Amino acid sequence: MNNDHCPHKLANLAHLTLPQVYRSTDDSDGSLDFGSVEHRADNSSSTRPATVPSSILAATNIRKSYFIGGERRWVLDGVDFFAAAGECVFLSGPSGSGKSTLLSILGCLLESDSGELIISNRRVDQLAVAQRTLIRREYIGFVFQRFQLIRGLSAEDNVSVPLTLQGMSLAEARDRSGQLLERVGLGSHRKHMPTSMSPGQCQRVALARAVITSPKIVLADEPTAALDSKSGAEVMELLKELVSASGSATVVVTHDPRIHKYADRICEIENGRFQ
Amino acid sequence: MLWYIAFRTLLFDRGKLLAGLIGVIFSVVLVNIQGGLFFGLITKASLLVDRSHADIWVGHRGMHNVDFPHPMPARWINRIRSIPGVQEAEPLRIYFSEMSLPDGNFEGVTVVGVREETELGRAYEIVEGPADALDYADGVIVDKCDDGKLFNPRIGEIREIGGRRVRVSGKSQGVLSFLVTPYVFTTYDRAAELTRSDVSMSSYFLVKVDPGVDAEKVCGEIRRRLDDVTAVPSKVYAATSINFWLTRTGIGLSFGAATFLGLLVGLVMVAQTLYAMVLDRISEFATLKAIGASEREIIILLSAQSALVASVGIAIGIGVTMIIREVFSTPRAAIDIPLGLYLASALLVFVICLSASALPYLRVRRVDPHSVLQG
Repeated sequence: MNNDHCPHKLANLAHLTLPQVYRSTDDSDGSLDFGSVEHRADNSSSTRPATVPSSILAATNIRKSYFIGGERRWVLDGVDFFAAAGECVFLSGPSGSGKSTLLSILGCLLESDSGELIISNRRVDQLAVAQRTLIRREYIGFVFQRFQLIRGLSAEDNVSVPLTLQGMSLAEARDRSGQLLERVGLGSHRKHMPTSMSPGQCQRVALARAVITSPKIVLADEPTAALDSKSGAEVMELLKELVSASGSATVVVTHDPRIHKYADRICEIENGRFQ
Repeated sequence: MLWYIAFRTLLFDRGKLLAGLIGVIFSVVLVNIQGGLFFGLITKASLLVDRSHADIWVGHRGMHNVDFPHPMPARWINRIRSIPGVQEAEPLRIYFSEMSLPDGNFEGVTVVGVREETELGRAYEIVEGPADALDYADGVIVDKCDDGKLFNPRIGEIREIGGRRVRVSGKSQGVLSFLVTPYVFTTYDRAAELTRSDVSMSSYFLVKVDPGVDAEKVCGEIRRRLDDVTAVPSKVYAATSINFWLTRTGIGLSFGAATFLGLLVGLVMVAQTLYAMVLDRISEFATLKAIGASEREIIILLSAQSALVASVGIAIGIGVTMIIREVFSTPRAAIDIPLGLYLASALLVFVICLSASALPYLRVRRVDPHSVLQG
């Protein structure tokens, strides 16, 4: 287990080896060809050694503010974040520290005020809403705190949704979903509705839904918060197993120190900055 | 899959689905019954024309309603009979009068006088009494549907019309006037006698043309020979008579307003139901958006739900309408629903239901997928 906390934002980048940077290109034509990888000629920022070839997810100098009571408050203030394929990074910190906001930005659910976000060698922070939707569909799997399963669909059909959004037929998607549900120990619950399953089972279904498309990135928002410690541990074991198999970069927002042992890295965030 | 999600989530919330279906069914039934009653009622305005067996109706210049003729010289009919292509031409008399009732009161009636030896103008079929009822002395035919107004006259019962003795010699079924005055059929000559009218005058001339002859051309020839008449094909005069009531009374507006209100209520119910369903599942829509469902797919999903509610509701609504029509339609309050009305109402309600999905869509459109991470 690697339980390194991030004392400084540069510590997040300790595994970076090559002085590469993803430079954005003009994507005004709306295509999904977002940019190219270039070697940085001047390594001007000695405190920011750019990125790495294995980075699936790279965010640099992310800033995000909200207006509260007419006053601008910075929720994220120049955050750099990177995650490599197969890596499991935890975002930890007190409530209101900005970790969920960062997760939303990393997941293309929210636009940052400034900064760059690169997913799988493509700059995505300046994309239109519809294009960001496609990025989420293609590259990202989500695990939510409250599972967010569709109540009217069986476990199997819930897991099938991302596949069908990618154009797969329902029959084939069900077949693959069934296999994955077998793998997560819910083979006998394929036809069960979310309302008839325990929270732990629901979260396992949600995990299966997140990884069914073998996304490059899995983002989990407090995946154990609604579960007891035993179920939480089971879910985290399962998450690690599933993302290890797919090689996805995983970012987990959590308050729960009991699951820190599952992290490759833990980044503490407070007042919109990494500690 | 989107259709499947739409279907499953609809079925999952059966209470709201039922409310939506009731809205659609209500709209379909109301539109069809209102429309059917309207058609049933307005058809009476041209009943005498529709059942006259004539190809052409000839009346005084400016005729506008079959029940309100202006007399014209009966001798003009000879000039019509001499037109090539005219197979048969017979006169018809329509006058207003009063029939005495057993309690000493009187009921206004529309006396229709037809020639005994022709089918032209015989809008009735005798369902009670002898087939040659009009051959009886003082014989008149009344309609069974007017029994209530005329105090249940029996066959053979003596009454008075215009102070003259008549005998109820036969009864028809379903020959009802658009007006409140019942039709009383009698012979052409007796009609003038009962109403003390000028025997040298007629109300209409009914013309049957030879097979293959263009009725419009014959009408033109009639108008050329007789300056003071209007001659039109029967269908045209039927439409003219209906149009008279539509344009000179508020009946069209009244039925139209009721139908519109029915549609509006249905629309509101469907929109409200879909909106409530969406509000209930707003986090699911946010989730779908978060995991990559596009705006187009969300629209398809909502439209599919509307289409499903509409289709099922329309099918049930038409079934309910047919049952209501079978049970409640009478000659007096006829519910006459043509196939076109069923199709038009189905199409209209379907389009309205699809439009109703715009309201929940506007709500879903505002849902920020980021909200699913905010608990």
